[in-house]
Amino acid sequence: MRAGDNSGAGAPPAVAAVDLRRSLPLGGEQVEILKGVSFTVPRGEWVTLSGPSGSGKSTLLGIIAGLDTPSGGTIAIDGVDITRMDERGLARIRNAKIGIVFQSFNLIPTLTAQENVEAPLYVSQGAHDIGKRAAEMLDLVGLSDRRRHRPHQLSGGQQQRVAIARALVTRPTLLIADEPTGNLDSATGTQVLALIARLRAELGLTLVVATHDPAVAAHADRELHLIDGLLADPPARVATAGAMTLAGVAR
Amino acid sequence: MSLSFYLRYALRTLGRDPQRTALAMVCIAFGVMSLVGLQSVAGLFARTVVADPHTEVGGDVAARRYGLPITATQIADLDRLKAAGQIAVYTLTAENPASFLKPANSGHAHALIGQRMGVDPATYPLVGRFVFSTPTTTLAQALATPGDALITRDLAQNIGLAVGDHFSLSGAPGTAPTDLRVAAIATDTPRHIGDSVYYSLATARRVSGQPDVATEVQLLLGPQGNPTEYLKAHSWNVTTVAEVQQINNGPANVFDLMFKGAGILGLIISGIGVANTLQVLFARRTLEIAVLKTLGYQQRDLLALFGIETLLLGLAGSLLGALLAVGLSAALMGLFAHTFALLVSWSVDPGALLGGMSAGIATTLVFGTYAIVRASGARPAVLLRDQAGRQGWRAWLQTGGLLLLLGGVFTVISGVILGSALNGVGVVALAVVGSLVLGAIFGAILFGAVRLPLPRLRLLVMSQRSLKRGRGRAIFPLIALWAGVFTIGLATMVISQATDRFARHGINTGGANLYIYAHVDEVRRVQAELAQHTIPAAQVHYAVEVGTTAPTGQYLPRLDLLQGRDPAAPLTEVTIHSGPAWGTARDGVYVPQPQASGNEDQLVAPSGAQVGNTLTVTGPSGQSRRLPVVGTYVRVTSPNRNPLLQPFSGLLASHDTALALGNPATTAVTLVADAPPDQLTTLSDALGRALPTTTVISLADANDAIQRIFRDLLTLAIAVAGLALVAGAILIANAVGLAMVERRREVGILKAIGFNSGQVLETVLLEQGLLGVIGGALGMIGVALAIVVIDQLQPAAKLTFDLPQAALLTVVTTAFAMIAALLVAWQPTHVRPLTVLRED
Repeated sequence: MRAGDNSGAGAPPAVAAVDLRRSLPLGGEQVEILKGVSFTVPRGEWVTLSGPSGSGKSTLLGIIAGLDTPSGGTIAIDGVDITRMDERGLARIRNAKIGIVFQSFNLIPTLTAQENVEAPLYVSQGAHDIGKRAAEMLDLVGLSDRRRHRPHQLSGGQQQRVAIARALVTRPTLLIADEPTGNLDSATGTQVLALIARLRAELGLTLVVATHDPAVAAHADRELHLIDGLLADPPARVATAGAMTLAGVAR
Repeated sequence: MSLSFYLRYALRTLGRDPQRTALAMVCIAFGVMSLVGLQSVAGLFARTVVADPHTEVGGDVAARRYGLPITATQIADLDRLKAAGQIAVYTLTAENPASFLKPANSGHAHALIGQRMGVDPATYPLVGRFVFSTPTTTLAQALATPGDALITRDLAQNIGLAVGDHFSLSGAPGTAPTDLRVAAIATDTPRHIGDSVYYSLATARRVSGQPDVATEVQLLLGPQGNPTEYLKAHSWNVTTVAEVQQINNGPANVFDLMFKGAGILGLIISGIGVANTLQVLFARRTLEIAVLKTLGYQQRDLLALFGIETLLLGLAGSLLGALLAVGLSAALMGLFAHTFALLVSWSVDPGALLGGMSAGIATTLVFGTYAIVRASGARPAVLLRDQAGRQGWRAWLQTGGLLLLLGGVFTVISGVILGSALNGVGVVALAVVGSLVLGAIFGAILFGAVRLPLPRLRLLVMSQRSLKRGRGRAIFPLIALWAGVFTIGLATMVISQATDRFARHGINTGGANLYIYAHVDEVRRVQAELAQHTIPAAQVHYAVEVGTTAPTGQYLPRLDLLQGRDPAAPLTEVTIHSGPAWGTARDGVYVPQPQASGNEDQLVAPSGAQVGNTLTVTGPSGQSRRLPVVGTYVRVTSPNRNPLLQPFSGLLASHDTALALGNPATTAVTLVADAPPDQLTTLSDALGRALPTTTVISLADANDAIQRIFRDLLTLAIAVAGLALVAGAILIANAVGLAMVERRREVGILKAIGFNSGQVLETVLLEQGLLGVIGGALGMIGVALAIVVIDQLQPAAKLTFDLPQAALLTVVTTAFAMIAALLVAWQPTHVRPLTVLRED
C-alpha cells in the first residue's frame, strides 16, 4: 500500500509556501499572525513545525492542510496551487492528498473504529472496497481487533492510531499532524511516533508535524521554527536516548 | 456517498443524545397531533354542524306555513305540483316543540336538544339516511305502529332506554305529554343530530287529536320548473338550498380556517422547536463537522447527511404525532359530539394521518434546513482556532434569502392543508406578524420583568440573571403560555360565571320552581298530590295552539299560542302594560307590547295586532272566535329564567277562552308550583313517580341540564385551549433542554465551586417558574381586559374578574412550567462536574 512514487526527480515539492501571510481580527483589530513565511518540503521529508504558543504554528498548519486560506502569498500541495481554491476544490485536495491527525484525536464519537476509518472513503472519488480498505488500514495500525469499538471504548493511544488510519486510508501523499502526542502519556506517545515513523517508511509519506516536544522534533529531517509569525533558526537540541532510538526506528 | 453509512451515522447520532432527540420528536409530534386532531374536528364540523345544505334543508326546498299546520288543501296543492312535474317527491314532517323526555319508570325528565318530530316513514328522509342499531330495521318498520318511536343511540345510552320501553315528551306550552314506545334505536340520522326522537305522522295525529299536524314539507325539485315562487306566492315560508348554502358558507369557512389554521400554528410551534433543537445540536457538533470537512466532506455531503438525520427525526416525530393524534382526535371528537349532541362515529382516517405525517416531515425539513445549512457551512478552521465566523452582508443576505425561501415553502404546505393558497398565505402571514408583534410586546415585558428588583435570595437572583441572558429563547414559550392561560382563563370565567348564575337563580331564589305538564283533566289529581306534599296549590296555565288572523285577513304567526290564566288570580309571568286591569275584560285578549331594546328576555317583536283590533282566533277544536284586543302586556324578567322553559308568548286571555278554543281531549296545562328549594329534587322525583302520566320538571332539573351543557362547553374549550398550554410546556421543555446543553460547562463550574445538584436544579426551576408567573399573570391581565371589553359591549353579561380563580390558574401555569423544566433539567443538573469539565 504505497501512496505512489515519492522520489521522482523533478517532481514538485510536497509543500511549497511562498511569502505566506495571515491576519485575523482580534479585539477589533487585524493582527498579523503570519508575516511572510516561505519554505518548501520535498516529497518524503519529515518536517516539524515548532515555536512558542502564539507563534503561528497552528495557523500555518491550517493553511498547509487546506483548512484555512492565507491573506497573502501562495501555497501549493504536490504542485497544485491551493491558495485561491474554492471550498469544493479544497475538500477534494484534503480528501485525496492530505491526511490530518489532531492532538485531541477528533474521532466521530457515534461511529466505530472501522466506520471512522471508512468515513473519508465515502466522499472519495472512485473509492471501492471501502470496508476492506478500512480494515486493512486498521490492521496496519495494529487495531484489527478493535474495529467494532467506539472511541470511548478505546484508550488514548488506540484512538490516535484510529485517527492515523483514518488520515491515511485515502492514500494521501502528505500527513499533517498537530501535536499528535500532546494528549498521550510518554510511553504511548513513543508508540504513536514509532507508528508514524513506520508508516512514513512504508508509505513514503511526507510529514509535517507541529510540536512543542523536542523529542518529536528530534526525529524530523528538518525543523521549521516560527517566532512571531516568521521563520527563525531552531534552537539547539539535546538528543535524548529515546529520540535516538525512535529516529533509528524511523529510518 | 453510501446511503447505508449515512443512515447508520444519522441513527447513531440521534441515539447518542436521546433526551434532545426526544425533545425534537415531541415538538414535531405536537405539531402533527394538533394538525390531525384539529383537522378531524374541522372535518366533523363540516360533516355535521354546517352539513351539506341539502341535508340541512331535507331536500332541495323546505316550506312552512308560518306556524300553521299544513292542511289537506295544501297537501292537494303539493300533489298537483308533483303531478305537474315541478316536485319530484315530497315528505311532510311535524315538529314537536317539547323539550323534555321522561321515561315511564322514572320521576326525572331529560332535557332534549336534538330533533323531536313526526315524519312520514314512507318518504322520509329525502336526503341522508337513518342507520339503525339492528341493520335489518327500516324506518317504515320501526314506525309502523302508532305510538312507536325511534330514538337516537346517545339518548338510549344516556337515559338507559331500550326497545320496548315507554316514555313521554313534554315541555311545550299547548302540547300535552306525548306517550311513546321505543321501537328502534338509530346510530345515525340524516343530519347526524343526536338526542332526537322521531315518530310517525299518524302518531302525531293521534297525540294531538288533529288531522293536520305537519308543519313542514321538504321536497326535491321535479324536471318541469321550480315551484318556489308559486309556494311563496301562496303564503309558504320557503327555504332553499342556495339560501342555506349562503348562510352556511361563512361559518363553515371560518370554522374550517380556524381549526386547520390552529393546526398549522401547532405545526409552526413544532417547527420553532425543531429549529431551536437542531441549531443547538448542530452547534454542539461544530468540531465533528469540521473533522468531516478535514476528511474531504463537502457542504453537499453534509447537507445530505444532516438532511437524512432531520428526515429521520421528522419521520419518528411524525409517527409519534400520528399516534397521539389518534387519541387526541378521538377525545376531541367525543367531546364535540357529546357537547353538541352529534351522532358521529370516530374512526381513524388513514388519509388524514398520512397527510399530517407528511406535513410534519415537511415542516421538520423546512424548519431544520436553516440549521442544516448553517451547520454544513461551518469552516474546518475551527479545529485550529475557536473563532466565531463574521457575518458579512453577503451572509446576512444569504440567510435572509434562505429564510424567505423556507417561508415560501411552508406557505405552500399551509396552502395545501387549507385547500387555498390565499388562506395559506393568510395563516403564515398571521403567524409571522403575530409572532413579531407578540414577540415585541413580550420581549419588552420580559426586558422589564427581568430587571424588577426581586428579594435578594441568591438562587432567585441567579435565575433572574439566567432569564435575562436567555431572554430571546424565553419569548416563544412565554407567548404560548400566555395564549393558553388567556383562552383557558377567559373560557373558565365566562362559562363558570354563567353556570353559577343559573345555579344561584334556580336553587336559591325560590318562587315558581316546579312545572308539571299534564292534560287538563289531571289538574285536580295534581293539586291533590301537591297538597299531600304540603306544597301550596299550583297556578294552572292553559296554553292552546291557535291560528290568529288580523282584521285584514293577514295571518299573525307571532300569535300562534293562546295562554289562558285565571282572571281572579294575579299574573306572575307578565304585567299589563296598557288596557284594562287584569281580570276586568274577560272576553278580550292582550297582545305582547313590542320592545326593541333591553336584555334578551325583554325583546319582543311587533305581533301585527293592535289595541282595538278584533282578531279571528281558531283553535285545535276547529272552533273560531272573534276576540277584541283590549291591551298589551310585557314579560316580567324572571330570576328563574331557564332557556329550557319557554318564555311567555302569544295571546293572553282568560282560561275560559283557552278552554273554549282548545280540544277537550288534548288540551295541555302547565301547573306551576312553589316548592321548598332545598327539597326540589326529591319532591320532583316523588311527584314524577306519583303522577306517571304527567311530566314534572323542577327548576333544579332544568338548571342541571343547562349546567351540564355549560360544563361540556367548558371541557371542550379547555381541551382545545389546553393545546396552547401544552405547546407552552413543550417549548419550555425545549428551551430548558437546549439551555442545559449550552450551559453544561456552566453547570460543571457551578458544581466545582460548591453548588450541589439540587441547588443547580432549583436555579433552573426558579427561572422557569418566573416565566410561568409572568405568562400566567399576563394571561390573566388579558382576561381582565377582555372582560372589561365584553362588559362594555354586552352589559347584560355582567361578567366579573374572578381573582381567586386567576390566582389559581397562574399557580397552575407556574407549576406546569416548572414540571416541564424539571423533567428535562433533572438529568443534566445531576451530571458529575469532572465529566463536564473534562469535555472541554
